[in-house]
Amino acid sequence: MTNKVAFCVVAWNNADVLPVCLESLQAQSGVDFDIYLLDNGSSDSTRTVLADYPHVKVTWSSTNHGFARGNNILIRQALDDPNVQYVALINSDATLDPAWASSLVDFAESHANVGSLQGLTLDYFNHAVVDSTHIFVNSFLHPQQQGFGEPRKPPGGYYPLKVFGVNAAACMYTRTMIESLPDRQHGFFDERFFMYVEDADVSYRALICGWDSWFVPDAIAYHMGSTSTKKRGSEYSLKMIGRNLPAMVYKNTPRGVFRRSIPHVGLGLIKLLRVYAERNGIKAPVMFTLALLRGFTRIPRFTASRRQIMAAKSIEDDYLMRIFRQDGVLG
Amino acid sequence: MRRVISLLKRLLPAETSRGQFVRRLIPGIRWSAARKGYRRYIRHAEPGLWSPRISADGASPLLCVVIPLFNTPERYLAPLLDSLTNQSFAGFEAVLADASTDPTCAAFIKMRAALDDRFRYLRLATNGGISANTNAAIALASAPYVVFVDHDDLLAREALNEVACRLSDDPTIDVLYSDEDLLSEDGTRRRSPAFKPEWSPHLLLHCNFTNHLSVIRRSLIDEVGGLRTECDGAQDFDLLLRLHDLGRPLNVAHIPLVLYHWREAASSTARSLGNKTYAVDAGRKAMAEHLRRVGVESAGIDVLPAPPGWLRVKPRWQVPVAVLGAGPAADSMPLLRGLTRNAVCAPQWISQPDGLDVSAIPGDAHAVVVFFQPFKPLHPDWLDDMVGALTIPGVTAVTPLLAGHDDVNDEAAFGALNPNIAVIRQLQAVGDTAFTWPINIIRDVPSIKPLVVAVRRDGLGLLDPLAAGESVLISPDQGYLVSWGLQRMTAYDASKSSKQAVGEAS
Repeated sequence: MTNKVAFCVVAWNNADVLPVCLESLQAQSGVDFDIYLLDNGSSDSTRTVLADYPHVKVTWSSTNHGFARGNNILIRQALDDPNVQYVALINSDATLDPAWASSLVDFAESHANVGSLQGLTLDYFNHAVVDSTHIFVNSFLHPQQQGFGEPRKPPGGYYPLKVFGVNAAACMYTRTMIESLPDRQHGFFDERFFMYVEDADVSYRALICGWDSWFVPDAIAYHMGSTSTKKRGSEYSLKMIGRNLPAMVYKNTPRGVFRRSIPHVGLGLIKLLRVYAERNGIKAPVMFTLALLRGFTRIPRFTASRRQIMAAKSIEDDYLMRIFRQDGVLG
Repeated sequence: MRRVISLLKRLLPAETSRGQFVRRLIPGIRWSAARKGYRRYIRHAEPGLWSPRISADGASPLLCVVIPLFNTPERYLAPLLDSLTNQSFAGFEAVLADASTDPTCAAFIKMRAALDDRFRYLRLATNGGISANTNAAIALASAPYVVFVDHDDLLAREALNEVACRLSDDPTIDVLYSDEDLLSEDGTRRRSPAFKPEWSPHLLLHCNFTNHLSVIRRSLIDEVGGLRTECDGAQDFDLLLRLHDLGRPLNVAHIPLVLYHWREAASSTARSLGNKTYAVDAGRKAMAEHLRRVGVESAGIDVLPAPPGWLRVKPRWQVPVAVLGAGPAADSMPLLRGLTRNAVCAPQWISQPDGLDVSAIPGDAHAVVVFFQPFKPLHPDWLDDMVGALTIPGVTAVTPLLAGHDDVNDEAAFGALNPNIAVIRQLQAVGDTAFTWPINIIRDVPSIKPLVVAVRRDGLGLLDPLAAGESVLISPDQGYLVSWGLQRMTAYDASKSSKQAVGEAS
């Protein structure tokens, strides 16, 4: 088999969950694969845990590169192997069904123009609850995870869908897409994002450039959800989302779409701040607003990227607006 | 805000003339209210109405979606093809018959068609018009059912699954249609749903109400020779009329769900028929040929002012006719005679104050119109319309639309119009008016009350229960009872002088 899958895992102080993840990767059947792991300078027992997995290609880093650059390093390594056609990104707190990779690869081989794929990602602790089916940017121009917290539908309830984009918790990108997306000098994942919103950014960019993302329900993954963030605290995620959001919108949104979305963006922001206030206390919306303001000051850095992405745009504004409105499902 | 609105409502009740004036002045208020109702339907009601997904069994597809394409803009085509790719039912094929003259358009269509292996791309050398292009697509179809889709419209994701569900429940179905709505030009908003009546054959006398989504058995299409180029613009209407004229009853079914989104494209009939006057002419032509085929003599076919594209057929029967006023209606004969102008049938006016006596009908009368209650026609052609309608095949008895006093207007009969009636009523309760088809349509009704009725001489037996004060109920294999909605009659007080009533009517 020449079409190899490269599993990429970025670990940062996840020694507790890492064995479960790596075991499930090693148990993948029906595909030829390699496992690439980057340790972002963990201070826990990651090194001793990894000693038990001699086949995993580990890169040790002394500093924390974050999720975006960390994955970029792994993807670059993986693509150095000419047999690797598919790059699967697996969070260190996610595990896979043994047929996950083969389902996705089979699907990708039988369809044209596939850029990325995601299976049905379920809650690791309760398999009857969905973690995500895909991600999308909603009409508030805010990234959203579809299906989060919903009960899992009975067998036969899901079917393959062409969607806005895939959730980087457990997903697969094709080599051709990674190599052809514009704005590569900042990496496949934009390294200026560090962490958060970078998967929405990649999905958005791929959609704009005409690549198809697929939700393939036969491939099942399980995700624990934000173990890295729990160690940092949710304040950190708020700050990073707030900071990266303006950049993601600015880089990828065509001017006409943005102009038509302004009323929704305003309403959406108010709604979002209220949700944060209810969930995380009154400090959260203030912090988020400050982070947004910080994000706005960073916008000029992304102008060159925006220009490149807009030059490669191949989707009509009307259709993009339609996709925003219908939960990121195409058609 | 809510308090202000309720205050305004109290100051300007809908019943008063000033309330009506304000409501007419600001149609946008009602319009947005209607949109709000439908938005609620889409968000809350619709997701619960879809049938469970059925898996496609067997290698050969059940449905073939035919799409004639002609210089289709990218922003229409991409969503349409993606809406097919994302169908929850997998057992279909789609034939894209491309007659584009613009090479970049054709290249884009070809590129998109290659993305799904269920799509078949057919490049047509010349553009032969929509009928010829569609026929070419149908010729490639291998599935037993053909689904007609226009190149600028969209299908609901569950559309083909609903069709497949229905077909698996009843494999004898010949023609299947669903409800539809309008999609804004940019494809982002849905509005103006048409929740259609359940099937009854005489509805086709108005317009092609089974469009869209239409699913037709392929063998039937082949039998009538496909679509006809001379009816381009109303080619689908013409096809249906010819199918129904095959001489055997078709099994027609209705899916009461919005499966089809009709885009208000700048050049589409959805926005305005002014875009396609030739479509109206083609519809009229198709209808005229249909009437000729079934042997109905007609005094022409008018185009109704609204809804757009609806036709008004004027069947005529030049025979002697008896008009009977029985019981309380006996005094209204002079009024009725006064309201009848230039009738091509030859009426005889008979008053029977002591109740209906069938034996008094003259022997040469081919048809009988009986008034059991005093009603006042609002259109001078009333008699010809009712008598002429009796010549349409399958019609057993004809009743006009009886305003205020009307059995076809009541809830039970209205419910027969669409099984979604409970949902629709809820939406109407929040201020929505655009959910059902107008009541003043020609349609088959399950029963007729003893009010006003026209029957042929061979159907005089129907009058006996009516004379006894009972409703008449017949099954479709005995013929249809038709409500001729274009003819309105209003009840009036017979104790008023007939002269006064004539004055009111004119």
